Order: sequence, then C-alpha cells, then structure tokens
Amino acid sequence: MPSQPQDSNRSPAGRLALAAGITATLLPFLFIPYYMITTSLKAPIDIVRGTGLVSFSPTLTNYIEAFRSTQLGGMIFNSLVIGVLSTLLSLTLGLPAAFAIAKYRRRATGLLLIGARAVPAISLLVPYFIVFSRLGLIDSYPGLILAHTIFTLPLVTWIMVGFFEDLPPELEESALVDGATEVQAFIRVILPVARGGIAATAILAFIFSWNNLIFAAALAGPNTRTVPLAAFDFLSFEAIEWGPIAAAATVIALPVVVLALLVQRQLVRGLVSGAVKG
Amino acid sequence: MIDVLRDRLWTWRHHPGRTVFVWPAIVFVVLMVIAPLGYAIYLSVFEGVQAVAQNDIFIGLRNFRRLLFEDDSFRHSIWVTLAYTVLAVTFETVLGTAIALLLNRRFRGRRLVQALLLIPVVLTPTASALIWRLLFNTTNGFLNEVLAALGVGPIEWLSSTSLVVPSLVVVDVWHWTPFITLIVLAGLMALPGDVFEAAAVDGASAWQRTRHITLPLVRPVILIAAAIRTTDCLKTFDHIFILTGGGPANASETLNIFAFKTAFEFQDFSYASAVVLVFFVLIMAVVSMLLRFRRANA
Repeated sequence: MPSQPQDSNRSPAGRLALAAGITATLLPFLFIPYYMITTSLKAPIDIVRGTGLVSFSPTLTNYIEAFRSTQLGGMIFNSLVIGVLSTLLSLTLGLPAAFAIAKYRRRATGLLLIGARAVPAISLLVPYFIVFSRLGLIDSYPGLILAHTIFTLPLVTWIMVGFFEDLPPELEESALVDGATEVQAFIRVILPVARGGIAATAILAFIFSWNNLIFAAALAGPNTRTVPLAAFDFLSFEAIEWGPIAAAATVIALPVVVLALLVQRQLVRGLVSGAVKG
Repeated sequence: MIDVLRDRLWTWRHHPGRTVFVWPAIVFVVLMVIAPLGYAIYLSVFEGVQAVAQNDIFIGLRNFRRLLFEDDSFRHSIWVTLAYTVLAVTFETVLGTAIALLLNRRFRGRRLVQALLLIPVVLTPTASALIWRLLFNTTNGFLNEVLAALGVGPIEWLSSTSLVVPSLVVVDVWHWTPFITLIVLAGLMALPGDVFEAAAVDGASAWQRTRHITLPLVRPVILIAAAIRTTDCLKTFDHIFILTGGGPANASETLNIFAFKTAFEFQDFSYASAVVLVFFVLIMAVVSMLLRFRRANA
C-alpha cells in the first residue's frame, strides 16, 4: 500500500493550494529555459528595450547570426560523432560488465568500474594531454571518444546493474538449459528483454558526452571542437548581442533536453535505481 | 584478496564464458584511468614537462613541497571549494527533500512534473551558464532589473569577491536540486504505507507523521543523494569556468579550476601533475569517508 494521500480525499480548496504550491515550486526551475528560448527569439531591439517576457514577435535572426559567427554546424557534427561513438563504446564495454556484476556478483569489478566515476576529470586530463600530444592524438576523434568513454562507462554500468538485477534468473537459465553459452544467452535473450533500459542508458550516456566541456577544452582542436566550446565565442558580447548568445545556448541545450524528455520515465528510473539501491 | 583470486580461478575454469564479460571493461579502465594516474605520478617528480618530449629534469618531491607548504593559491582554492560545496549541498538537500515531500502524493500530472524536473539536470551546464551570465549582468541583467523595480540597488552578483561564491551556489542549486528531489521522491514512494496508516489512526498530525516516521525512514536515501552530490560538487567545473573563470581575482577559484589553470593557462604541466594528484587523493579521501559514514548509518 503506498503511503500517499489520495487525491479524492482533498477538498477543492486543498487541491487548488496543492496545484499552486507545485506550480510555484516548478517556476524557478523552468524559468531559465524559458528565458533562454524567449530571448533567443527576440529581435535585438526587443532585447534592448526589455519588452518583457511574453509580448514580442519572434524572429530567427539570432539563430542565423549564431551559426554565422561561429562554426556551430561543424561543432554539432563533431558532438554527434563523438557522442554516438563513445556511447557505443561504453555500451559494448559496460553492458556485459554490468550483467556480470549483477548476476555473477563480481563486486570488485563493480567497485572498480563505478568508482572510476569518482576520479576527477582533471586528474586524468593532464596525463591525457601529455600523452595525446606526444602521440598526435590531440584534435582527433579517437582521442576525444576514448576520453568521453571514461565517464560514460561508469554511468552505463551504474544504471544497468540495477536493471539487470531486476531481471528474473529464469531468463538466462532457460537459455543455458537449451544449450547456449553464457555469451549467447546474454546476446539473444537478456539484451532484447532489457532494451528499454539500454535505450535510456544510451541516451543518458550521449547526453553526458554532449554536455562535456572539460575534455574538449583541453583535447579538442580546430577540427574537433564540440558544441559546449561555442560558449567561449560568446563570452565577451555586449548587451545587443544577447540574442545570439541565447540562440547559441538553445542550440547547445535543446537536443539533450528533447532527448531526455523522450525517455524521461526510463531516465528517472535509471538515475534513481543506482542511488536507491546503493 | 586471496579469496577473490581463488574465486576467479574457479570461475575461469568452470565457467570460461563469464570472464569475457568483464575483462574488456577492466582493461579499458586500467588503461585509461589507472595508467594515466600512474603517469601523472611520474610526471609530477619532474620539472619543465611539456607537450613535446624533451629532457625533463628530475626534482623529486619538490613540486609537492611547494604545493602543500608554499602555495597560497592552492590553500585558498581549498577554502573556496569547501565553502561552495557545503553551501550548495546543504541547500540542495534541504530544498530537494522538501520538494520531494510536497510531491509525495497522488495527483494528476505527477509524471509530467517529474519529467519537467529533469530539465535543469540535463540542460547543458555550459548553456545554462551563458544564460545565468545574462541574468547576473550587473547593468542590465534580469535579476537586477527586477530588484531595481523594487527599489533595491544593483547587486554585483559575479563581480564582487564576497558575492561571487553565493551566486555560483545559486546556479548549482538550480541545476541539481531536482536531482535530489527525484531520488528522494523515489525513496518516498517505495515506503510501505502501513506505518502511516497506524500513525494516522493513532491521531498523529501530518507534520508529526512526516517528522517522526517519514523522514527517518527515508534518511538513507537522502544521505546517498547528498553523498553523490558532495562528491560531484567538489569537482564542479563547467559553469564556474564559464561564469567567472575563477574570478574576480581568484575569489571563485575552486581546486578544479586552479588545477586546470595551472595546466592549461600557465602550461606548468609538471606542477599541474602534482596538483591533480593531490586533488585526486582528496576526492578519494572524501569518498571513502562518505562510504564509511554510510555503512555506519545504514
């Protein structure tokens, strides 16, 4: 029996108060994206005049300006390539490992893989920079993909251990009884069953790769600049340039927000399962 | 340790298919985490390390001696990091739990609310930092315009040495409170209902029920969420770097920013290796303290 009061027990006044309370709570959190999007759609003169947050006629000139003054298009491409490939790599490494941790109780491995998340990025970034420079891996896709996988792998492991633990052992056992090897059982039976969780985990890994700034700031070069680096191009703009700044911010942030909302139920479950199960 | 090895050997002999599940990931972590840390140790005992290999001069532990005993910026950055983390995690945990308690009831649209709460958590920190820069702008930022309408003078959110850390904490609270809320809410929803019914029958008020039953029961979840946040908060980089770059005058220079600048602004890679190693040790110390604290409280 859940511990929550029923809606039907609430008086109309109570329901209104609850709705008001929840709206008031959400408002500060949603204000930032709202301000971001509205400012990006305002003509420069509307921004200077400060025409408030609702009444203005939207225009796309800021987006055109943002794409024109930086290489946003190229950066998006780089972020996509690096994001997809590092996600694939971390899934390839992390899914079997998470399964083994969940079902075969490889706790030491779990500690190693999830503990890697605690290592500060900068502590790896300095040796990476020296090694990559000497090996010519700066400004290269492989370099950035490897670096991004370092923090998407613990994430994949963390979330999928929870998902795999919830799977009934009969699934694997029935496949093994039918003569499959452990690997075959994993690929043909377990993975298809876990596809929902895998999709959400993959999207979360992609989001974290897309959002990453610190590795790109040190390891990327002119050919591999990722989307967050566009921020540096806008740091010294004056008030009349706020439109393009907001447009750039929207372009940087909107893809991941949309992705997150698409799989939000699984995402919340994934983010939470690792923590609640400890 | 011996038991683990013996167990592994048994597994490898009787279930050879299983080892292949973990070894690729283990090799990757050894190669990309353990080896680089070892290399950082190696780099830190030299002087003049550059991106191009050259004759690095061995100087032993002199980098560490300078860092721990002679570098005021390092010590200052530890204070900044501590202040920032303590403020941010405290506010986020209290606020996040309060919101979770508010949302811990059946109402239409709760799924929607949970989805909307995800937005600050996934919104690219770099992008939100750009927007917060606009909001915090001293002359015509939105916040100061609202304050001006109320008759309050312009506040130097990001350019005052005393206000810059609280301003950054505000950004962190905006970004991560929903994270705590979502985790605590899941913990609340998993609580069994019988205890509450019994208490309600006994005449306990809602507030009494919350304080004496709900909160103690959900405390482990709150602590886990706070522990995760603490570890991550100590390592915050993105929005501090974009909003202030450690300024004004190093007032917001956390340990992470200090390390980054030492390496990539001053290009002092050997000293930077010592800094990042000390940072790593400090983070690991905090993590193990948190784990021990959790084990004692669970």
